[in-house]
Amino acid sequence: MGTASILQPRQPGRRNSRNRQGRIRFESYGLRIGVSVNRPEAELLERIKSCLPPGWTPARRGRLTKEYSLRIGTARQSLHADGRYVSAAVDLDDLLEVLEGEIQLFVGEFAKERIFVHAGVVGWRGQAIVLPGRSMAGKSTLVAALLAAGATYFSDEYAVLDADGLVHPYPRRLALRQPGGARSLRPTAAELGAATATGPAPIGAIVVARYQPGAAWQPRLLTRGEAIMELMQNTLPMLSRPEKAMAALERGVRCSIFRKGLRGEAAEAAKTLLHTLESPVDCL
Amino acid sequence: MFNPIARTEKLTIRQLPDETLVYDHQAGKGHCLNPIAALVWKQCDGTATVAELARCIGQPAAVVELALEQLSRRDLLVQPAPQLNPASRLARRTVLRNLAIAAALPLILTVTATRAHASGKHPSLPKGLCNCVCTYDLSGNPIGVAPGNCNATGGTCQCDACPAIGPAGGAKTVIGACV
Repeated sequence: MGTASILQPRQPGRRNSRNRQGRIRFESYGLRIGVSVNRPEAELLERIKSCLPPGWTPARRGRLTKEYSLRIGTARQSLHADGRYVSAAVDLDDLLEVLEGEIQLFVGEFAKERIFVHAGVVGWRGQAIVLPGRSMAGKSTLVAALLAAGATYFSDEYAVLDADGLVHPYPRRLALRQPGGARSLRPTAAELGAATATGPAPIGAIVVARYQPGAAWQPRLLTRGEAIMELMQNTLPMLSRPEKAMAALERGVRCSIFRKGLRGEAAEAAKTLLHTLESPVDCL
Repeated sequence: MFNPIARTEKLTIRQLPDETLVYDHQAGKGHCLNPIAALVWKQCDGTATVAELARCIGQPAAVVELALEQLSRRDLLVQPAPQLNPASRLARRTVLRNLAIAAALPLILTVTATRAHASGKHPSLPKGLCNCVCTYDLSGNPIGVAPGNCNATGGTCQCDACPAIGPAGGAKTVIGACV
């Protein structure tokens, strides 16, 4: 993680002290990104820092691939990317959540040497269980339940594949949605009592589980091709880098169990799922 | 006489032990061909008719026709396969019904690759929240607000107050809550 040293409140201009700005420049997966804000308070910069992708490092001088700016006003705040309007909100927390999502998507689509797939991932017996699905598909809930059942945390949002198809940890804070539209809880894996993976792992299982209240976990088997297709439709750089994405997916999906079905409550599904994966996996 | 030709341009093809994966760069779609569909597709070199293809792969012509229909619908042939007349279609259905039991039918699964931001709604917008669009008159005063949808959670979108001043004749997005 970066240090506060890169948080550089700009000095007030002599002509106009209202030009004070805070700026963060960081590097993430080979991309150099900047976030500036028209208010330089350290507390605000710390909140922005908490929106950055896991593993970010401070960036020195050099051309930025993307520059976000937050404009904090008295009645509203707005977010801009490369000078273009993105979103506005009355509540700053809402806008910071949008900023986090924007940065994640940008990094996910353009990361160098990595392929990002929308998926929750946990480690189990030295292998990764990948749960592909878009936002709000119940990934984080199932990931949290798997962690409670003893799995290791990789990510609740992205499976990050390298060229060999190994999955790397992307241990952002989990986003556990609350009933009634209340703001999501954002615990770390440690706060949930789980360990976080420290290195890559091969994919041991791909499980597509959609939540349906009361459903019993009786998944159907997927073929290897079908499993790759499930990942493909959740792969961020599929349109921009299809060759690399397909190669990584094909290499990743070799020694795996493939399942798809409806699940009921996450805790029950997690136990059943881990039990299914006790037996050794055949490699293709 | 229709001699089908497999399209090869702007495709990435990956051969798995039992299936063939095809990514169509033009359409941004991925296809997974089962062995029969892949077999038919690979034989489509423009030299063989449907009957000849059927003989070549040792399957009834109805199977080849069905495969070609699926390949054609997915733009994986250079020229589209001709439509069957109703009588031929009925006859084919009878043949295929018997084959279905033996699971020997060609099958192509297709998915669409989407750009990360393509959904229009921000994917990371928390559950229970929605986007609203505030519109402004030429003086920059708010004149209306269009609530977003709450399809994911149900309910209706109750928008936060629009900023008092906005872009003249333009629009701004604010976040609302699904209630």
